[in-house]
Amino acid sequence: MKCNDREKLFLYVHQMLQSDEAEVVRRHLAGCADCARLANKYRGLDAALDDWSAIEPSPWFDAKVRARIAASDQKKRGLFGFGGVRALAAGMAALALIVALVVVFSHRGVVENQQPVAVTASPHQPVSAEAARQPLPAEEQLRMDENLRVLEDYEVVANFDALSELPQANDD
Amino acid sequence: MVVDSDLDLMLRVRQGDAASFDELLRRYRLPLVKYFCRMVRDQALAEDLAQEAFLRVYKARHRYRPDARFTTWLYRIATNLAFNAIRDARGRRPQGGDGRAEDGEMPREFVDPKASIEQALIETERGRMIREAIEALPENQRAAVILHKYQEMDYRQIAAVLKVSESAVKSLLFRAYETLRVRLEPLVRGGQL
Repeated sequence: MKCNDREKLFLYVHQMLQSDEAEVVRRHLAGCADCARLANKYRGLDAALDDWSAIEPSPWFDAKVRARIAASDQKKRGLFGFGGVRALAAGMAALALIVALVVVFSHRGVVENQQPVAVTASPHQPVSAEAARQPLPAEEQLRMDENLRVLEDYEVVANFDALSELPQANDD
Repeated sequence: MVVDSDLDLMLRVRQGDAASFDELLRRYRLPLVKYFCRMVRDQALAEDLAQEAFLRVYKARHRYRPDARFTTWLYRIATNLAFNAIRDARGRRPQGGDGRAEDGEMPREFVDPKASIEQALIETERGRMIREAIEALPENQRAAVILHKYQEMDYRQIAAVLKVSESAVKSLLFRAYETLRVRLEPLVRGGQL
C-alpha cells in the first residue's frame, strides 16, 4: 500500500475492505506514522459526527399516518366502490339539474333584456311586416338555430320507423 | 417471545393485517423522521415526508417483493421523497451557476422560521457546524453519509437504496468524509471551538 492511497485507508477505518486488503493496510499502518495519524483523524471525524442530534417524532405521528391511510382508502373506495358509483351518479344528476336551471334562467334573462325587439321573440304577439323584414340580432339568430336543431332532432325521432314496429302498450 | 421479522410483517400487511403495519410504524417512525430531519432540516417537513413514506409503503404493499430487504425498500422510498423535496425547494430559490444561492450561502432548503428558532434553542454549536457541513454536500453524498453514519447501513445496503454500485458508494463516502474532515477540522482535532 502507498501512502497517497487515502481512499483505501478510509475504507479500512470503516471496515469496507476485504480481509486480505485490510491485512495489507494494517501492516502498513504499523510502520507509517503519517498514515496512522490520518487513520486516527478519520476515526475522530466519525466520533465528532455523533454530536449532530435529530428531533423525535411528535406524539401524534402515528395518528396522522393512520388518518392519511384512511383518507387514501376512502378516496379509493369513493372512486371505485359501489357507494362511489351511486355518489357519482347522484353528483352527475345534481350537476345536470344545476346546468339545466342555469340555461333556463339565462335564457329568460336574455328574453327579458331584449324587450324592445321582443316582436320576434314571442310567438303570441303579432309581428308587423316591417318588423319581420328587420334583420335579427346575432344572439337571437344563434338561439333560433339552436331551437331549429332541437326541432330537427324531434322530427327524426318522431318519424323513426323502427319505433313504430315496437309493440304498443295498448296492443293485445 | 418470538419477534416477527420485517419481512413477515410486510407479508401480513400485504394480506391486509393492520396490526402488522402498526408494528412496522412503531419500529421505523423514529429512524425515518430522524433521516428526513437530517436530509431536509425542517422538522415539520421531515414529519410530513415520513408520514408520506409510510403512506406510500401502505399503498404499494401489493408490489412489495420479499427478495428485497424491507428497510432497503423503505429507505429507497424515503430517499426519493427527500431528493424531490430538496429539488423542489432549490427550484423555488434563485441560485447562481455553481448551485449556491445568490447571497453566496449554500442553499438552505427549507427556511421555516419557527422551526429554525426551535432548532437553534436545542442545537449545540458543534451540532450546527456538523449540520452545515453535511448540508453543503451534494445530495447523493449527503444521503450516503446520513445512511452510513446515522442510519447505520453498510455500503451494500446504501448501494441498493441509492441504486448505484457498491464501488460508487465507497467512492461517494470517501469524497464526502474527506470534505467533512477538512471542514470540521476544529472538531476532529480535539473538539476545541
